Amino acid sequence: MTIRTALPTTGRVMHARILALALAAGLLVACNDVNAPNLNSPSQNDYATITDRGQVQNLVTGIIAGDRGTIGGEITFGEIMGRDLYELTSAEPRYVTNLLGPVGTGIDPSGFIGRGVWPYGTIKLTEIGLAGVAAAGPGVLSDAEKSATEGVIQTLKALEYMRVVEMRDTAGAPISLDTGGVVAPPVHCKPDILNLIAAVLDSGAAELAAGGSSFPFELPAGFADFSTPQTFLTFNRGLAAKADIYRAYINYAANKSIDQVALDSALVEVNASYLNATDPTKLNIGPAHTYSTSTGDALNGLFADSSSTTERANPRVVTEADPGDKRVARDVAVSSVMTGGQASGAPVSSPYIYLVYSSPTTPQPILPNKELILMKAEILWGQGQLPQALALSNFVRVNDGGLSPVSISDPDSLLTEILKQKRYSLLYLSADRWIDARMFGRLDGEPPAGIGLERGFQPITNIPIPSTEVDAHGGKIDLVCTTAS
Amino acid sequence: MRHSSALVWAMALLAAGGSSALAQQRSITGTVTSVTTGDPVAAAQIRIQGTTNGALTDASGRFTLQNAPTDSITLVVRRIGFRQIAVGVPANQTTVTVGLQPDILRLQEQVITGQAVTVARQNLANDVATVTTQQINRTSTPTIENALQGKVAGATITANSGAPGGGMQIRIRGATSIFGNSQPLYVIDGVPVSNRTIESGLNAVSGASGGMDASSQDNAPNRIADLNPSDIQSIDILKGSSAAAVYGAEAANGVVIITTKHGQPGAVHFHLTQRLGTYADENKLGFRHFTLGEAYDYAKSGTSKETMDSADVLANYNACHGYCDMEQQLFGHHGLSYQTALSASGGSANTRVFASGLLQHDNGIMQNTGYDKQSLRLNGQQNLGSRLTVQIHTNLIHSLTKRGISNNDNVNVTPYFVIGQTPSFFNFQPDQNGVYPDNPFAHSNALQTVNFVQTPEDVFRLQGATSANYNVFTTDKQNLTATLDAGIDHYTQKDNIYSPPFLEFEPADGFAGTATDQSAVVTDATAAFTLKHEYTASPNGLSATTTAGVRRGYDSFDRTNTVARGLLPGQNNVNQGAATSVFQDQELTKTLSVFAGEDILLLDQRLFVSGGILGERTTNDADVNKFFWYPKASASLRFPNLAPWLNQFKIRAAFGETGNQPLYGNKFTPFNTVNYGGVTGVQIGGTVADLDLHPEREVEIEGGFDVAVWNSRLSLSATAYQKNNKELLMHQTLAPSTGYGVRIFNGGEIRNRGIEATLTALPITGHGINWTTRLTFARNHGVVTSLPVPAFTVNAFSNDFGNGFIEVGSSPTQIVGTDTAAARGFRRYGDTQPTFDLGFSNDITVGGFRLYGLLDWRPGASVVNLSQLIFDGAGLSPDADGEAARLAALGNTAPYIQDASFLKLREVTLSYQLPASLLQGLLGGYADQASLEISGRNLFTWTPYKGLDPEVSNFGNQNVIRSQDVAPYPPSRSFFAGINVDF
Repeated sequence: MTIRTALPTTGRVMHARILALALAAGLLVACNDVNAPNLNSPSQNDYATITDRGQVQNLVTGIIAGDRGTIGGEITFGEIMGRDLYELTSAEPRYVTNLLGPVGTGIDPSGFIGRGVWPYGTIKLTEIGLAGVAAAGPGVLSDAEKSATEGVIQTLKALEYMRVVEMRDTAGAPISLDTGGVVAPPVHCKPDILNLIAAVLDSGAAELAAGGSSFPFELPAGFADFSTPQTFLTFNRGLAAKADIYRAYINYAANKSIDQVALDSALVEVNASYLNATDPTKLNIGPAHTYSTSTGDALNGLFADSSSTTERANPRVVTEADPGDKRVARDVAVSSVMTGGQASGAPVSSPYIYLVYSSPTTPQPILPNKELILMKAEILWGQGQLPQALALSNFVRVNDGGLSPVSISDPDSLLTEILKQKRYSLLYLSADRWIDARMFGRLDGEPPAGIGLERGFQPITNIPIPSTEVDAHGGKIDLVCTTAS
Repeated sequence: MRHSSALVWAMALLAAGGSSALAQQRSITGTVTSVTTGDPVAAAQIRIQGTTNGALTDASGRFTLQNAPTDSITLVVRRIGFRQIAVGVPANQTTVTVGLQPDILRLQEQVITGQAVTVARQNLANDVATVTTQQINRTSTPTIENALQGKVAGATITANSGAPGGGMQIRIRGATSIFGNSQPLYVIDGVPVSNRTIESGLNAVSGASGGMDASSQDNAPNRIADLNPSDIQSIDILKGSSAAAVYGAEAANGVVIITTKHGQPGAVHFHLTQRLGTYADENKLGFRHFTLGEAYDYAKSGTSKETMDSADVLANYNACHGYCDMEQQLFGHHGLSYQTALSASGGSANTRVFASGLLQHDNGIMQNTGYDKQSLRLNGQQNLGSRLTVQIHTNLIHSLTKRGISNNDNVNVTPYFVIGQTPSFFNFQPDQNGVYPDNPFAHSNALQTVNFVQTPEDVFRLQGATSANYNVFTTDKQNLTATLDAGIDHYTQKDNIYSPPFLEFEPADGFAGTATDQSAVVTDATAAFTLKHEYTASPNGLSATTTAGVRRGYDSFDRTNTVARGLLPGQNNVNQGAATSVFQDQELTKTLSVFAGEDILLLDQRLFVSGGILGERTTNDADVNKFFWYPKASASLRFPNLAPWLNQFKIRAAFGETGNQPLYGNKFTPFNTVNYGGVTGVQIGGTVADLDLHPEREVEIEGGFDVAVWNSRLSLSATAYQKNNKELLMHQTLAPSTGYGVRIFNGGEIRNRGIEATLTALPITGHGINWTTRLTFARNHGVVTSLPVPAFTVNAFSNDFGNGFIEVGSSPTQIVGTDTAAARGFRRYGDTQPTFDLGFSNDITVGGFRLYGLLDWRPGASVVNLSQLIFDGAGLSPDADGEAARLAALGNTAPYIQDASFLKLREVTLSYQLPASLLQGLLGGYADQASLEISGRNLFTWTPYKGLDPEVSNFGNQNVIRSQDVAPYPPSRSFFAGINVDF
């Protein structure tokens, strides 16, 4: 207690005390930034403006990986509905009961099929990427690099919308909005979606054309032939041709009408693609997804060990083939009979397995040249250029199927022939058989024109809109249509 | 900087009149005694009113006060446990005798209500529950939370399992959140500390939640368990916003304020507690008994995955005479447990030191489990001159917890999963060569698993809290102090789970053997600066306390977990695995708070009015620059001695707001990463954060009265409250076409209303007999009053078993289950929250003997008994009829949601204080006091619940889906004998 008397409280000491206190308080508030980054994963905000070229790589890789995660579902669902495939696993009877089930009530919109092929996460990513690239400073990306990147992202965005409309058809599809997730985007009618796809592809083509000679990122190995803006543009044009074919034949099933303007565009586009109808060794060129066993990378989910696979070829694939078709011998083999769908009371069975995916790293073609050739045949057929169409069809028939060419003059029979070549050349590689049959009004009826009843049911016309989507619209979807029909 | 400049101005104004005059001096000596016993009172504080000049009494109650002014002065004498008294000393008088009245109701005890703010209990306007060191340490306790069960009206404290080393949920005044933090804030010696639950990573072995990383089903303890209960002086529990507003957006679940012991001036005193005892299994489920014929049939039936041939059945059957009591073999481990607690306390007027050490070992009732804790504490207080007092609290803790395997699993590894699927005639015991038999029924030998799986969890923890208290100036009416509180809580938790490759179940995931190496580092740091101005008009007149301050918090967390599978024999290095997975999880939250408050005592200190506000911003808000403001206001009015029998009557009311900040990471809209051909890509993560994400807000009002009658031999405190938790953290299921699955935003409201009462009575006192009885009662009713999204399920496992369901008009903690007859196909079956909580304790002293007991009664809660489902599914429950009925009902109703009301005999202690003569004879005058005790915890449970223990939670601490019983670590009761010596 003596210290107190030794330190009388003079004004100067008081000042010193106040200063010390102020200093203590000041130190506490001085470094008052409480901000901290996300330490566990990148934040989407970090990509609002691209500040690092590495981010461009991450975005493009992520978008392509998104498509790699979607394509398998489209092929599996489409090929089951298109009478090429059975999935007979006892763990999941809905591959039979839903996809081979009654039209209209077949597919549960809340199940994994109803929720499947709905790549809006990837579509959202393309939008984040487009905005981020557009906002990038000139020190990060040159104008040409921006264009090249945007061209790739636009093309992939259109590809995702194309997968949605192929599966949902007239049920429509939402067009993504930037609402922070709060509002469910409006669901547009099929013509709106096709127009959107065509517009996005055209915009992407313009960007690619202005994109200089190289990309500021690397594409996966399966895009090796499409790794410059000029070559990627040929992929863009192939997709554009596909979209314009869908537009040209949009009313064909209903009233046999053909939009010749769209068909003319499609012809220009397919010719601007990597189409090669002269070199028989180039039937399979085109971008493909690749897989690896490296940690974290993906395997091709369509591969299944041949000794135990529950993924079976629909016996129609064998019985409806032309005798001697090498594609059947190449892609299908006989194994023990497997039966599935017993629980439904109408089981299906097949002794055939597919050999298309021989290993878990077998690449997955996205748009092979043989598809382009047959797309061009579909275009020419619609333009009345029947001999030219037949020639293209025969080119695939001879070079891929090992069959002798056929001579057909009747338009309907020619279309049947073109679609048959498409079926066998793209066996278990694409959902085109089901999509084409729907487009040309051939879902009903037995072959050769139709694709046939299964378990007594007609083919499903489309996968429904997912129930979560419907719920977010208050239980009922009102289709928005801005295209005059 | 604008805050600090405001503070400087405030200080400058207050300091203006702050110089004190010096005069001639005298020396005053005196003694302080208790008026009831006449014994001297040591460590009483004597202070000359209006100055910082003071002294302390020594062991014989004497004090000397130097440098007292020669004119008439007033001495203020204070001592914990006695009522404060003011004694006038006329000029020239140099000796004084002071008699202190015992403070039975602890009315003058100072209760901590905020940063550097205390209020005398007699004026307190909130119902703050205080638990003293005696109440905590009367019975041997494994962790601090065990010691609070049944003692705090309004706090439902429930164990998650019987595993050694803690793991309990404290729910104060109902569930306040759905997706936010569910736990109260813990503050030790002025500094918030971490009560994190860091999952052990057991999931890598159990596969309970899929994946390889740690999961909420790992049965991890929350880390407040590290604290040494015998270090605690008192615990104040701020139950809601009206009391806890100063803790801002961490306080919506209440605040548990722990004050550790301080040194007492005088010669060094030692206190030694030595306890020896054991934990023993409290309850068994029992198995179906088989006749030999039934055993043959069972082994052949389709219930088992593999048939056992007749010779094998016979050999097994004979080995345990038809009934192998696997629960006894697995959970009948009775190792020796001990607690050795030694503390020393001493000091002088300027220096006080408290030091303690603890060695604790709790045996686990399951082989290969247990809990070891060592704790060292050093608390010091030093006066540096007359104005500056520095306190330091340090605690160094090491604990090693082995909790074994329990809870849900998907590969048949948890003991109850295995024995629930294995008929009781199967013998798990190894043969004479030590070879464990393969179990053809569950493909897992539980005894082998328990004996060889290692689950060590090592924690090294350092807690330090320093406090510097500086008296800026003192006059006879004014006092300005500045306080700097700073502290750190730093620990590492290391988990190394090892499941050797030779175990029968091990190739379950295709790889034999699993080893994990997990390290978690937690650093929580806080610094707070507070200015407090006290104005006292006259000793019992108006007084006003003004505080203002600023606080910063820094919480960081970094966990890495490496899981290796496919091990070489004998190798548990994660580098040696055939497949390795690495996980990391990090958090960093910074907080800045500014606060101000005013406490005013009026009307002879009978009216107390208090108000305050806190502004806070944190890392976890979307807008880190926005302050969220939390106000509070309260008032109490007391009427002393209204009638000869009515000693105290106080009415009180309080209002306050707090928050519950978003969890770390909620505000980010994350990308996932993906690998494509060795190149990393980003993908949409599934959740999208609202751009305005901010803390949940709790608004609470409470009111009540405190009354003491008949010489304070009976006192009652009653409180009613309403809490509205608004702007809850909410998950909205989105249209998938937005690109996202879930949006995290604020919305919805839960309302909790309840009443609490605490009754304390001294039915007999005097003549060598003292009987204290205490009853605490609390009833809470919670209801969801609004939801911005459709009603939704909080999924535990399945509606067939029992899930949470959040809907307007129902309790947030309700349990719903399937009912095919109900319109929606499901309905409410029960609630995880009991109808009420009632604690009842009695403490009877007769001569040197003391008998104490505590009952904890909680009717009306339900538990989802999936352990029973395991037995039922295998046809192995002891009640065949019940089993058949439950299985038949499953899918149509939810037969496993079961009544889990209980009454537990929590604590019993019988102690004997050795008389002085015996003490002299035995310890030869070296000891001041000594007592012997025997105690038990959780000795009996009365419950209709058919599971192991109605206190259970497979998912640990949860807002909604508590009370899922899935093959838990079974409960135990403990018995200890001990000796306490003061010397």
